[in-house]
Amino acid sequence: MQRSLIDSLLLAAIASLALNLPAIAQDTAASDVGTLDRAAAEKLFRTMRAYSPYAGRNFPTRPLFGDTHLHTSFSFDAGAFGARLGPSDAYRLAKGEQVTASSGQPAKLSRPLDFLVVADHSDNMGFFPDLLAGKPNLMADPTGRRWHDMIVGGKGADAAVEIIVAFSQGKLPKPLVYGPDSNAYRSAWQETIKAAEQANDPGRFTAFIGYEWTSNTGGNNLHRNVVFRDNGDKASRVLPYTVLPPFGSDNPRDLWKWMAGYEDKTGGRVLAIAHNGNLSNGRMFPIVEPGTGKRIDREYAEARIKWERLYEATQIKGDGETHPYLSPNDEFANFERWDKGNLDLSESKTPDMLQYEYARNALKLGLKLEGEVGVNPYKFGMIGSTDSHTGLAAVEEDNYFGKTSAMEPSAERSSRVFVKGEKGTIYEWETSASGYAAVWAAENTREALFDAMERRETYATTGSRMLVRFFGGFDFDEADAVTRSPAVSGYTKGVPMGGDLGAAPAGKVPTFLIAALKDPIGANLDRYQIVKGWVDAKGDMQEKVYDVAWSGERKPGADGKLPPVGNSVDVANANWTNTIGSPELIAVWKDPDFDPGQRAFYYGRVLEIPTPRWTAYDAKYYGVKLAPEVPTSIQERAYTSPIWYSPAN
Amino acid sequence: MKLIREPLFHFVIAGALLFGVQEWWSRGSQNAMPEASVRIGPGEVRWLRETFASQWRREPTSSELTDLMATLVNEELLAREARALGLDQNDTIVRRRLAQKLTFLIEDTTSIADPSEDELRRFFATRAEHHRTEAQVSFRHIFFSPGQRPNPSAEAGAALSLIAANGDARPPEGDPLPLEDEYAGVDLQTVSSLFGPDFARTVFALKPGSWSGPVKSGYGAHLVLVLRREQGEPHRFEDVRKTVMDDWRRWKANETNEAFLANLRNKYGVVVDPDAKPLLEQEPKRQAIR
Repeated sequence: MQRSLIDSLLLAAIASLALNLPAIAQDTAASDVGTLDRAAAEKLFRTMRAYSPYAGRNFPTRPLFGDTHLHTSFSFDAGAFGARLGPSDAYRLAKGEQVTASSGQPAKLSRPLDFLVVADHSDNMGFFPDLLAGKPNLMADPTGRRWHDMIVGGKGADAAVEIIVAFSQGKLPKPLVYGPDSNAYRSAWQETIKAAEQANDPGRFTAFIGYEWTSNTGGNNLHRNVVFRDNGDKASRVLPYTVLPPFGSDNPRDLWKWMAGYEDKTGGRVLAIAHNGNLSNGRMFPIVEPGTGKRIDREYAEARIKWERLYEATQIKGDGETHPYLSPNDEFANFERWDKGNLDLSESKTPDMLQYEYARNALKLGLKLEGEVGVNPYKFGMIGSTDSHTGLAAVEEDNYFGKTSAMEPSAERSSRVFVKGEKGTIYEWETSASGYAAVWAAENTREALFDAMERRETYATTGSRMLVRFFGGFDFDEADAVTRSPAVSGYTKGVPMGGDLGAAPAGKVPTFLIAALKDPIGANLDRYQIVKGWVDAKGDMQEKVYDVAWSGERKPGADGKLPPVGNSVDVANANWTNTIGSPELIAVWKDPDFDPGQRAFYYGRVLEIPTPRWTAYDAKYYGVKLAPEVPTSIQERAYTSPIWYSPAN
Repeated sequence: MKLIREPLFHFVIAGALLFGVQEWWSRGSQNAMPEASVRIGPGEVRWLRETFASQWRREPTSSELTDLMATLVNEELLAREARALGLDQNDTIVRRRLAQKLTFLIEDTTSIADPSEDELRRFFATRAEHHRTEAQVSFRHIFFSPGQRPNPSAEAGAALSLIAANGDARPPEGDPLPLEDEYAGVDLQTVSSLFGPDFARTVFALKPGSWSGPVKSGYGAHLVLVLRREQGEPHRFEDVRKTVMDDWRRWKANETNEAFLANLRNKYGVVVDPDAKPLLEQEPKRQAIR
């Protein structure tokens, strides 16, 4: 009897607290074990965290760094450029082991990565090792034989260019097409799966199964990397989707169908990550669907955002956040730019294409399309990756192994031509030592990382491993920026990067808790900015960059711009000092221009102080003199996934 | 006659017989025919047919097959004559191709043979240090930021003396840092990825149970209280069998390759001319490149 009496008193206390009904609530309740007053009951039953701050805490406490886009010799073009390392070697380097690069030099990362996706081209997967080995089916074709002889005779780079051009122009001789029905193709896919299964080490290192779907019609880059959440038992039940007919297609809608088919057949999960809109010549983020001439419809929007939750916003072939033409008021927009044409430079770039190529503008187009068709097709999060074709995910500025094996460190690479097309030339110095994907996952497993990617709790970096937090909500205040653990406030009072704010409660304005911490062995931070994009009352797309936290005592000038942080780079010695900048930046920011009736997104951009670019390290090591147009310092940066605001209804 | 019943004896006799027959046979056939004529058997025809079918997704017509056959025969004839004229000598492509074929062969054969259970266990025992669980540490830390204080290390030091005097019931708050202030059961790699390698090494060397510091990281100065440290323990063979097998395969492939090459070096001998030696040691001139 006594027990049940106490139980019911406790229940009453809980109910009164939970329902907050003053009529029922009693401030004290006497019983024969003492007096339970309201304060005591609150102590017992409040939803606040337990005394131990770690009990029941299941949010991610550190970002996991990796690369979702690495090619090995299994990719036909990588092999042609001299890559000899296969998927197993790629995983070993990522795990922190030393390997011998294709050029014979030892290679090792400054520290291990947490995860890696080997994403070899699905078309002609395994073609290259066979070409090199001189398999009879390839030697029977005159072009195949010529390429084989070129490569074996030391003309691999020339062969590579021919192979890539032939592929992107759809002129690959028929007998050389490795269709998914061929045995060679099957065994290459099985090899890829086997390497990932062997390297995968749940809790310590995640080796994802994946491939790249390389839609490249007319040289216009619509590539996507496909990543599996599943293990080999499911992934080996399918063959990667290709582009070349009759088995494949160059239309992303067909890739999405293939993805749906995989999930239906196996009960597994896959996602796709597009990249290099800058080489798509206006086709990556369309409002009029290429090929059909029709405006993006709801079906396209729904499928795209279902399958493509992330975008690879920075990599070796240029940065894709924004472009000076699109963001004329952003003094940091001109960064590692590749805007001469499409992938093989067969078509020049014109300014009207840019708006459909870069992440920031695509996010704005997404808001606009959401207004038209009811679904935002471009509601993606951000990651960076390498797209290296060497089997080496090595994009640190002082440890850059280049885009292809022919571009591994040498005295010549800062002056050589990389791509020469009809419409222009790109030099090897223009390749950018970038980037990595940072994922806020609570554990290092395929499942946890994949799920974090699906909820877009990710950010892109250009190769540095800075830690970046970005939370949005309606109730953050200054006090949240001085707590010992900003993440606790962030997760309890708001949503992390990649999330939705929902509609604003009456009179409330979006607030953001932001924090960044420099790479523990890298450079200090210059500033943390918030980029806001919105569609105004007239239906026009707008953007604004706000400086939110910065190092030192700098004050914004009359134009509202914060002065530059300075530059401590000593180019001749390829060195810099952390005498400027700050190791950490934490702040709370409230949108000063909020209009509750307008759709908007917000994302964080964190800049490091200037450090030497890879070209400066090359010049120092090889004792070469760089041409005057070659940049020697760089401000590494991170882009967080956005947080979206949508008005009610 | 014990010897006659000895298996080794049987073996030797049989071996000698076989060897003799082989010698006689090969000599005889060589004398009769310098080289067999180009021979087209059912195997060749099947191979041509299949190759064609896999490329074109249909069977070849008979005239296509005849053409393929003619190409094959011509190729074989030309190749033979070229070999007879010694055109395969000193040819980079031929040499590379032959070396490559043999490399593939070696790789293939070593990947087939898996070790016995015993062999694998012995391998595991010789490399026990590679197969341990990671050492782990649980610690608390207080951060002193160079952005907030002119001399974070000195202030951390002062705070440490205060803790020593008052006990650590109420350690100072420190400055905010976008990291956790306590970590439980983390390994060296994790601490290193969060705070940098120097900090990680220092923390793993601290005595558990009392506050120490200042410990420097890339961010500033820290006071650190190690709560617990667990040494890594040797894995049980059964738990890491798969990893050991992978390691063994890689080790074996290397080993076999090295042994094979060493064998070849012995078999053929390698001599570097005294005149070549200075040429080998010459460093290339560094040229300035534009």
